[in-house]
Amino acid sequence: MRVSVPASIFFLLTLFAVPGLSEAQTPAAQKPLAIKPEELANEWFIRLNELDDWFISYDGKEENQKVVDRFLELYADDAFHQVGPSATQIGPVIFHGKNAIRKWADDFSKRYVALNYRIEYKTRKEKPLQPFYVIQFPWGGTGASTQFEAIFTNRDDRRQYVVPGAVFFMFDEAGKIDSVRIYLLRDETTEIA
Amino acid sequence: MSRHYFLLVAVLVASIGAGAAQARPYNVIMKDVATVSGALRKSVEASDFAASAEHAQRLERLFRETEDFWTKFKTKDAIDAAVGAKELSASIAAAATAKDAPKMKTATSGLGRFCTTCHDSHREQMPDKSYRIRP
Repeated sequence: MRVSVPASIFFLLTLFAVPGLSEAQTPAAQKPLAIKPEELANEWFIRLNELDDWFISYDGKEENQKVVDRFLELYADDAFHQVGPSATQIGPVIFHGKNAIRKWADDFSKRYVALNYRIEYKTRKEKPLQPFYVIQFPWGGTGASTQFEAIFTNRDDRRQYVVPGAVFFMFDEAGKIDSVRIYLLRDETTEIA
Repeated sequence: MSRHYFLLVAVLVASIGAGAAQARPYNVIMKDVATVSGALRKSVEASDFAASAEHAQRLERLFRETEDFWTKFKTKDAIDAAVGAKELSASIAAAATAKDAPKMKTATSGLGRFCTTCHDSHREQMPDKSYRIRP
């Protein structure tokens, strides 16, 4: 037997029943994120690039503390910051805690000028985008990762380079960086003439 | 004993002297460079050899101070510009002493490029028109 449902009843069912069903099936982890990890990650790039934005005083003092402080505001007190080894190091280089990360940021800020770490664009169908890959962790907090091009100039010899890289963030529930891992593909370093 | 004491005093005096030499603020050095460069240009145009030699020697000392400022930061382009300007100032002084007007004028006209090179990288004008030093 065929039962016909009047259009008005069907409309009401659609209006009330479907959203309720949808909500019941949505796990807590799928709720919209209060703090968007891609915005936190983007802010990290902004403040990283600002690490060259300081002056030398007339009496010869390097006044970079303000930009280093601003960069450190993004990190949790107990954060991890991991980078690749420098020319004089081997193995992983991990900075743990704000004092250690401050040392890294201070050195970085004094070593490079014209910093331009920029998130790589992806373009399909004439639509350019700087994608962040984001995740909501089941234990709370969020993650984000992206590919970038590191463009920088050595402060001492003024040689400019571009290096591709990737960065992986873990943010705590307050939106502070819990850990960050930066990869630079040194084998693909190109000097900009 | 007295010999050691003499050496200690000599080292202390030398350190104080070196410290005093580095104490001049950079903006004061740059203002002196601007003033003396202007005076040099005028004396060179007037073919005043004595005044030109004096101004060029003063500039040489000022660019040595500039070089000292940048040397502690190991900033190659600024050091190169200061050294270039210092050497050119010395050659202007030598040409003025030798009363070689063409050489003196040619060398003086080349001085500005060292200033421009360094200012392009390391001088930034603030909204209040003052200048600050970029690393």
